[in-house]
Amino acid sequence: MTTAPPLPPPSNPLSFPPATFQKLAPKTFLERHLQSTPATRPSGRNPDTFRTPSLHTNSLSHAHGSAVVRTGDTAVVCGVRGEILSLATGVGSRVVVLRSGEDGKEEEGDGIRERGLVVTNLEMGTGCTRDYHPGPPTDFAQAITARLHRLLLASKLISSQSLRILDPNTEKIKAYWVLYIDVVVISLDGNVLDVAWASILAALRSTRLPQAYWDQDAESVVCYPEVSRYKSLDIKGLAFIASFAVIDLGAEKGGKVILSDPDEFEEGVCEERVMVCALGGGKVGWIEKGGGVGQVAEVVECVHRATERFKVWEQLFVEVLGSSGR
Amino acid sequence: MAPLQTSQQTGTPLSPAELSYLHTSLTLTPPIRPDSRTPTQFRPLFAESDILPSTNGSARMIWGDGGECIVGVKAEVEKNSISSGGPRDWIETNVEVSGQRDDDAFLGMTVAESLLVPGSGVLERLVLGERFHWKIFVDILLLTPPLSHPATLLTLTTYLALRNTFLPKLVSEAAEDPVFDDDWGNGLPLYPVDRIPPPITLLVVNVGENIFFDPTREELAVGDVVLAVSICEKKVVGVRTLEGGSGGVKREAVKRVIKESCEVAEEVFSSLNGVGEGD
Amino acid sequence: MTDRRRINGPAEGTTPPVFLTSSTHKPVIKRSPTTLRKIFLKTSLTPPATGSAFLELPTPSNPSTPTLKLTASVYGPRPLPSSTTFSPDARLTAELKFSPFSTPGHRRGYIRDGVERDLSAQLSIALEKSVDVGKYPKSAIDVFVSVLDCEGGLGDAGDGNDGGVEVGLMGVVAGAISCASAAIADAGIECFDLVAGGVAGLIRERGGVVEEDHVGEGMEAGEDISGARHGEKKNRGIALVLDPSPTDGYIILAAAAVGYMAARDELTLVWTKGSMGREGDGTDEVERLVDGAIAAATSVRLVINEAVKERLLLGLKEIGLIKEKAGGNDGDIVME
Repeated sequence: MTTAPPLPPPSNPLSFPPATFQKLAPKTFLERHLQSTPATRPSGRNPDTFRTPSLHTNSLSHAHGSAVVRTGDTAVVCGVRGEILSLATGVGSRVVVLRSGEDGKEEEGDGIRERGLVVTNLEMGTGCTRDYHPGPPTDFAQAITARLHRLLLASKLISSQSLRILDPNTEKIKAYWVLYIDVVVISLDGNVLDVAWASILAALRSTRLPQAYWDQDAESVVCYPEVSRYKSLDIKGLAFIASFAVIDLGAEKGGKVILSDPDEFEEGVCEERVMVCALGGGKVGWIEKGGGVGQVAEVVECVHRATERFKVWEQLFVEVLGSSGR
Repeated sequence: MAPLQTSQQTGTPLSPAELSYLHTSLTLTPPIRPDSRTPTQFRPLFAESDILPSTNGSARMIWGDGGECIVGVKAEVEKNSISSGGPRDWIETNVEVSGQRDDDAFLGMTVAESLLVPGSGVLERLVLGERFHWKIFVDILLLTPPLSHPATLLTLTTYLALRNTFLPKLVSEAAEDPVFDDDWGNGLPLYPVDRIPPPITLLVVNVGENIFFDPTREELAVGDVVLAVSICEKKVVGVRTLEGGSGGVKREAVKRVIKESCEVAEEVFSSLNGVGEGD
Repeated sequence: MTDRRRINGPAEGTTPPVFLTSSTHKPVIKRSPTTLRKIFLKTSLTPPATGSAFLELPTPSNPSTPTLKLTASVYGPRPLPSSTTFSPDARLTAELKFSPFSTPGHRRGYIRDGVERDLSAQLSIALEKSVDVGKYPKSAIDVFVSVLDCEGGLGDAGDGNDGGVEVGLMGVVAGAISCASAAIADAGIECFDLVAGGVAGLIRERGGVVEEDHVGEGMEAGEDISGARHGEKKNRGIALVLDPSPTDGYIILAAAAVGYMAARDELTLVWTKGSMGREGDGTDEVERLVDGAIAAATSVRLVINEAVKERLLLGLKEIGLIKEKAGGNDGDIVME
């Protein structure tokens, strides 16, 4: 590949259709695309172009909140369902210990973390792509799940206050809502993390839990059936993930190229990855980088793009969720 | 229709030529079965009931081709509760095929589905006063799976076991905790003679214009359609399609299979009831 | 026995919310018994798959009542894994999975349960007979169906199913058959015919007669249904309904689901539940149900045809566009 002439497209006597070229030499295929002026990716996007997202919420009937998010050919459905964790059945001593910590109000998210009140899972065994089969989640799915779960806890979007179920007389915590967040990947074409995260956030924002209280006589938690008494979760702020793949074209051919929102093919070729979790007001919540050695400027560029991406998501959320009130 | 092929599901060791021969001989009028049975004739079987003293009802059946099945029925008293489902959970069936790790979803569902058919009146007899009910566990153990499909063997054995299931007589009042008569002689049958009996499932294969009961594995491999028809006292309580055959089947054929199954089932019922009387 | 590969909920276990009074929504039957619900079917919504389809059964009268939503994706024909034995035909496998949030009451588990395996088996039977498996030796065709949302009536606990047949499962199977068949066509796999799923049920209308509140009494009624006392009621209350929904508010005595290939007038799957008499007018009950389910499937078939045709026209258009581009140079050939 080093012998190929740099500027004009190689007029090789042996020529393949693009699809075959892509399969035979994926790396060269991607490199050639990025060397053209202006640099264009196989999908026709510029290196810094993200795919346009679309969002629908509350399309599922048995979930308390749900969202369908699609960017390009990656589509996920997220459903949030609340179930009740009663403290009455738990061991008495443990309840006391934990309650005292919560009363201190030092860490809002801690009740959520300690008790496992938020359960995040990602299901990829749905025939979303040819490599994932039904059955136990693959290493990849487990890794994504773990990252989503970690981010959700670290971002402290959910306040444990909104998950408490109180005894109306004594104002004591009698039970908690446990949020089961299940993301089902319908179609996968790379960068599932960004989309899954956005779907979780949208689903949580659209979630409305029934109003529940501790019934002293029945010694159990009872909910009011009226939809008008459903309460939405208190979700604080917004956070969006932007993922990047980095490819090194070599010093004389343009150096490193950062690809925003990589698709399945680009993810397979590029080893170096950057993930930025951007918050409102130009803040950054989480940065992950791995798979190669890069300059700090590279990460700074990613952060810059991530904050731009944040605005796109924010606008979409305002459009869809701002007016939606189930 | 019905292009001939080796069916990988049934795993017959027959060659395409042999299958073709078999298919032709089964489509003749009158058809010729490899073991020279008539279309509605079953293979010989050995059956006995009440073999396990610690159960409420049990039966064993040995099929001509070596298939052996044991069914034990146990009953427990359970408190009514809102959370644990409705009366549908009062009968629990479990099929275990020896040498197979997963239980067979199809077999389990067939039995459970036909047992719980609305209107069979069993669930009503499980009610114990206001707060309790019987919970029935039907454990079906397929000791040696038969060479052909085990559905028929399984349900016939289950039928025998259920027919011979007795529950202790309740002596307490409806509002009290249940207390039972300790004399087994006063036990009440789960399926009284004058009520709707338990269902049985017949495996029927349709080849051309002919319908065969109790098909062997080879016959299943060349069938156009294989149906498992569950019948309960002159009534069809369930029809399921099994794997096998290729291409679809005309609706007339399906209807004829169902109709004939009902007729044959009556004979089967009467002979099965004979087993009970012989003991 | 915790699932180490997933994030599990609290070890103490959680329960679905219990409501003060069970929400007594009793939807009025707005459809006539022979009217099918409008089906939304679209192909190629999962581009990575060879073929895919999405099916939705809306309940237009009330947006909050459950609707059936499922996706199907097809991969193949692709080589069988090297561990499997030789097969002269394509092996079709179908996997049906309920999403954890798809059912009312309890959440669904992640691991396939008996119901899912049973439905998967039925789905693969229904589809296999429609695919020309002889055309693809040594290959595998994999069908995946995910149920995102369903109407209940699955026979689960807390389903609100009082003594009737769980018609929800049949609705899922029929929907899965139609959707998967469209996906197989979308994948360009050779078939004998498209399969459409249809459901029909024999119902006793709720509220009309006194006896259905209590399960036991309902049973009793079923038991001596042949009795003279009930003869009159039977005629009045039992009716055939196409495409019954568990939320329609009647008790379903018996139901049938079929996989039907309309162009060949052949069935690939027959599944009935509930007891159907056969003496006197009895035989009719089975036949009536099967015929009803076929009628429903025939209507569904039209929707599948449209969805597949839509996709085909799109494909033709794409080819047409390529021709147009080339047409500039090859104009002479056309002129000749």
